Amino acid sequence: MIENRPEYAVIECLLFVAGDPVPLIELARVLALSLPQTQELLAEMETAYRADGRGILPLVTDATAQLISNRDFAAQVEELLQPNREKTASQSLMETLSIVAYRQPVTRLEVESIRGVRSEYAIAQLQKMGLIDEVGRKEALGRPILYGTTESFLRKFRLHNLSELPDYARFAVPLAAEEEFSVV
Amino acid sequence: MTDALHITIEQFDGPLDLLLHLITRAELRIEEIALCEITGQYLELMRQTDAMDMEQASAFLSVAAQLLLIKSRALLPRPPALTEQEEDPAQALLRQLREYQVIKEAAAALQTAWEDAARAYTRLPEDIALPPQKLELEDTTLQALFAAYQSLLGKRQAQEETVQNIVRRVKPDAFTIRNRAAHILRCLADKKSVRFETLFSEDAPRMEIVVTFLAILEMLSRNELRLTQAAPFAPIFLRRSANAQTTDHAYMDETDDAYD
Repeated sequence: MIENRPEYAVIECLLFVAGDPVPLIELARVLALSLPQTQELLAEMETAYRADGRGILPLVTDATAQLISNRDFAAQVEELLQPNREKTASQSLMETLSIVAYRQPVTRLEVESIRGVRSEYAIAQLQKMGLIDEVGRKEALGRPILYGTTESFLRKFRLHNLSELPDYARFAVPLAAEEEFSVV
Repeated sequence: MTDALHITIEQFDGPLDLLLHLITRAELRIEEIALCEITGQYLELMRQTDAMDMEQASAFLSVAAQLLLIKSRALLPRPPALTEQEEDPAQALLRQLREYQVIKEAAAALQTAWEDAARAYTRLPEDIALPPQKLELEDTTLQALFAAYQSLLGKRQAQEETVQNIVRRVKPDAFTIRNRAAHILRCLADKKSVRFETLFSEDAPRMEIVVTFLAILEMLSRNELRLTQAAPFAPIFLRRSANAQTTDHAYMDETDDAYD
């Protein structure tokens, strides 16, 4: 039996009222806990809620927490409310997004060399959608912009962190790097 | 070619996507394909496509060139052995293809993950303003600081966008073609000709230079001025042309009235 702690109720209440993702630091402040304590509490709460098969679950990333509906009941939600199905993106956007997600940080040139086509538009589009953003500059000729995924990317995919991306271990390693290693 | 095999370049998300398709269609794995064998099919497809936008075409052409290079190397007597730095073009292209194939699979996996994730819903935020907060910097992280800074910027922007601030004073243009034309005529009033450079004040702002230049062009087109230059890069002189009559330059910019 999973322990149902009183703090869960407070957190659930706060996240319900907020709707938007709440910065963990803010939660910690209200709960009068330290940030690591809050993170631990949220992780436990999520496990407990999942185990209980609750209708709403906390979605916790490194920076924020938010309440989301349990996707096991998606069919019933759709039956009741007919929500607009969120459109996913075109193939060229998905390719670009997966390069950035699995290989970050990357430059536009690196994206283009993998895809074999220009990707300015795709990158600009993904940036506009808030899924990727500039994360720095590469210490190379021209100091090109490095791109990485955002907090809202994690939330869009309902992930806690990047290692939860599908088949992360397999897709995250560039082939070229493997070969270079074997030469050295 | 049967209908089932009928494909067009537009269906593909770039040349690598097309190559990958040709390889799969030949029921081969990337490791097994001799790229020469699909070069013909690739080129044939490019030939059939009569309209392509330039940006797309250049990517396809570049791969076509790589394929031809690979094929010509295979057909011709062996060139001298490659130096160590130089990678065999076939190997390079195959490696690129394998890399692309992995990413394509990743993209498909991501697509599924996205669709699945979209089945979990969130609520819209409640429209309740949070009370002002005390500044507490203990235990904070750089990320949290940055988030706070960003939200502050957002608030600031929202304030600035209120109606009062949208109303701005529009300054009249300091330089108009009309007043520059008048200036040119004044310079020419007691002289037969003036040097081009003397029309501009010292440290003339860019706008003054641009508008004066436009005024000269306008007056030239109206046959009020003549330009002479003895040789390329020699000083340029302006003269009034013999048949110049007009001194009223109101025709030059109608928008000027607004500021009069």
